[in-house]
Amino acid sequence: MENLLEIRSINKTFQSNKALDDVSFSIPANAIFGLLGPNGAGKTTLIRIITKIFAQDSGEILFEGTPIQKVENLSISYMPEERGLYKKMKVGEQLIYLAQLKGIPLKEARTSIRYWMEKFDIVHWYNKKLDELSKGMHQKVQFISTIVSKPKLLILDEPFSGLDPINANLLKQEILELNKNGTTIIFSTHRMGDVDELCDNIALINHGKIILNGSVSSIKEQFKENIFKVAVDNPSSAKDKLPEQLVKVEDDSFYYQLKEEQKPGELLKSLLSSGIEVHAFSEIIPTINEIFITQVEKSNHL
Amino acid sequence: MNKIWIILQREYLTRITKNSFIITTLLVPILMGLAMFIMIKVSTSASEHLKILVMDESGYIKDKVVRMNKGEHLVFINESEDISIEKVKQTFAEKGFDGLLFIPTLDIEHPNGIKYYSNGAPGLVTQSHIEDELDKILKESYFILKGIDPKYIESLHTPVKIQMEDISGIGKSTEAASIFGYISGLLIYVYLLFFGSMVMRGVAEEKTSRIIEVVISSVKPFQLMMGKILGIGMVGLTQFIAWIILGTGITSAIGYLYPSETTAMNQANMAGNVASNPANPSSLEVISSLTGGFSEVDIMRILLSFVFFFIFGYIFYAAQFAAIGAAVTDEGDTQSLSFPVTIPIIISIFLMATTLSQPNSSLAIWSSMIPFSAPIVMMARIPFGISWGQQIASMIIMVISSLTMVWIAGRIYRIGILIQGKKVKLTELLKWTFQRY
Repeated sequence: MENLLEIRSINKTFQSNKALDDVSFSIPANAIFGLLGPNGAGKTTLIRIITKIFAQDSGEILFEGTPIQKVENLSISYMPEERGLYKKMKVGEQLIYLAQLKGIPLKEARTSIRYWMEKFDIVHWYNKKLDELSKGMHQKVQFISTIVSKPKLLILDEPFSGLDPINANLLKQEILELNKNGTTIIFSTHRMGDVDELCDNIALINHGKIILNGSVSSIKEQFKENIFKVAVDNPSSAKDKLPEQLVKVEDDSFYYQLKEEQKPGELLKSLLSSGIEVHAFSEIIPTINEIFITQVEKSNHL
Repeated sequence: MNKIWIILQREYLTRITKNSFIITTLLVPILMGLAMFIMIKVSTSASEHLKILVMDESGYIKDKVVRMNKGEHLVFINESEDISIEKVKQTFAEKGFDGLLFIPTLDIEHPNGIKYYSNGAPGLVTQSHIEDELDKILKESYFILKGIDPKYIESLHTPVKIQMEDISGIGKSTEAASIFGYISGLLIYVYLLFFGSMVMRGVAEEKTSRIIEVVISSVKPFQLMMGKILGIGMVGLTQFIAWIILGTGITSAIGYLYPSETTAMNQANMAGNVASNPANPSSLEVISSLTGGFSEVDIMRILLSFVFFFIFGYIFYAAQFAAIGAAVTDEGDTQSLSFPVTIPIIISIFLMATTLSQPNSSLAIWSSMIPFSAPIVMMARIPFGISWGQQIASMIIMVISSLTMVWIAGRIYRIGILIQGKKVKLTELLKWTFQRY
C-alpha cells in the first residue's frame, strides 16, 4: 500500500519544552489512522505541523511524496477538538464562508453544502443562526464544514465527543463511507472503543515520542499474552485441572496461559482428555485500551 | 489576496447589518437634529415679549428709558406714581408688568444696588441687554458730568482686529484653522479608539470561541488579521460617510422648515457674543472666514490629508489592537492589555491642544512626525498651512511605520491566537515578534 503521508524525524521545541522528539511514521493511503496519546502528548502540535499552522524545527513531511511546504493547495482538512463557529451567523452563510476560505468557488460550495445538509437531513437549518442550535447540532455543521472541500486527508480530533449514540453512529457511518470512497482519515481520540472499531493503523505518542506504531492487528498480535478463555460445563470438576497454566477463574470461565512453544490445540486437547466439557474456547486479544494504558504507563516509568 | 477579500466582506457585512450599527448610524444625526430643534425652540421662547416697569430714584435713567426698548420684545415704562418700592414690588405684576427694574440713588462712579424683580428669572439675553443699556446710559451721564462729549464713547468702542497674514500664503485665518484642526484631530481620535477596540474585541472573540482553530488551517493568520482590520475600517468609513450625508440632510431640512428661526438663532447667538464683550471680533467674521478664509486648494489639501491620516493612523493603531486581541486569553484581560495602546492616543489629544495654540513650536513639529501622535497632531497643524516638506515627511513616516506595525502585529498575532489558558505578559508579546513558530 502506498503512503499518503510520510512523517520523517519531526522535531519541535516550544521555548524549553520539547513537544515532538524525532517523530516518524507513515500513513498508508486510504487508511483510517488512529493518532493516540494521553493529554499533552504532542498530538495537536503534530496535527498543526501537518496542516502547516506550525513549522517544524527539523524533519520533513511528505504528502503524496512531495514536502508539504511545496504543495500549493494541500488537500487536508482538519476538524479540531475545540468546536468553533460564529454564533451569530446563519448556518448556511457560515458554511459558505468557511468553504470559500478553503478556496472552494462559491457555486461549487453551494451545491456541495446543499448535498451534505440534505444527507444529514438538516436543510431546514440553513437560515437559522448557530446559537439557536444545540451543541450536538453544531458538531454536524462543523463536520460538514470540514468535508465540503473533499479533502484527500481528513483529520478528525475527537469527532464524537458530545454526540448522542444515534448521531455518533450516523457520523461514524459517514466517516466509513468517505473512507470507502478514497478519503484517508487521521482519527485522534481518547475513546479506545472507537479506535478498535474503526482504525486499521495507529501511532501511540507520549511525551513527544512515538512509542507504538503499526497496524492494529499486528500490534494486538505483538501484545497478546497467549491467554485462552475456556467456558466449561462443570466448574468445580475443572478446578484442579492444569493448575500450572490457570491464570484466573471467573464464574464458569477459566483462563489459561500457554507455555512457550505450546499450540492452542494442545491446550484444548489436554483439557478435553482430562474429561472437561468445553463449551467455548477463545483467545484473549488485548484491547487497544489495555495496550494504551500499559504502554503509556511503561513509557512514563522510563 | 483573494482570501483577505472574503474575510473583509464577512467582517464588513455582518457588522453593517447588525441592528446596533444601523441604530447608532441613524440615531446620532437624529439626536443632533433634535438638539438643534430644541435650541431653536429655546431661543425663540427667549425672545418673548416682556413689559418692564422702571422705578428710578437716581434720576439718571428716567428720561432715557425709551432708549432701552428692544423692539417689541422688551418694553420699558416708568412708574408714574410716587410710591415706595415696597409697594411697587407687590403691585407691578397686577398692573400687567413682567418685571420691575429698580435703580436706587447711586454713586455714578460705583453704581451698586440696581435690582430686577420678576416672577421667574429672565433669559440671559434679556439680562445682558438690560445691563448693557444701563451701562451705556450711566457712562453717558458720567461723561456729561465730567464735561466730555458723550459721542466719544462710540469711538472708544472701535474694535481692534489684527489681520493675521502668513507670507507662505497657505493659511489665512487662525480661527478657521483652529476649528478645522480641532475637528479633524478629534474625529481621528474618536475613530482610532472606537474602531481600534472593535478590532481588538473581534480578534479576542474569534480566539476565545475557538473559531480560530477551525479557520487557521485554511487561511494564513496574516490574511485573517488584515481582513479584519480592513473590514472594520470600512465599517467605520461607512458610518462616517452616512453621518455626513444624514447630518447635512437633517440640518438643511430644519433650515428649510424653520428658515426664520434658524437665522434668528444664529443671530441670537451672535448678539449674545457681541453683547457680552463688545470688543470681540464679530462672530460673523469668524463664520465667513471659515468658508472664505480658505481657498479651494487649501480645502482640498485639508480633506485629502484628512483621508490619508485617517486611514494610515487607523491601520497603525488597529494593527496594535489586533495584536493585543490575539494575546487575550479571557475577555477580562482586554482592559489591562490595551492600556499601553490607548495611552499614546490620549496623549496625542493633549498634544493637539498645545499644537492648536502653537502650531509651529518644536513640540508640535516633533509630535507630528512621531507615528504615535502624527495622525492627530499633524491634522491639527495642516490647516495652519505648514510646509509641504514637513507634511510629506510625516506622511512617509506614517506609511512606513504603519506597514511595520502591521508586520509586527502579524508576528504577535500568529502566535497569540493559538495560545490558550495562560495569561500573557506584555514583554512576552515583544518576544513573539522575533520568535519562530
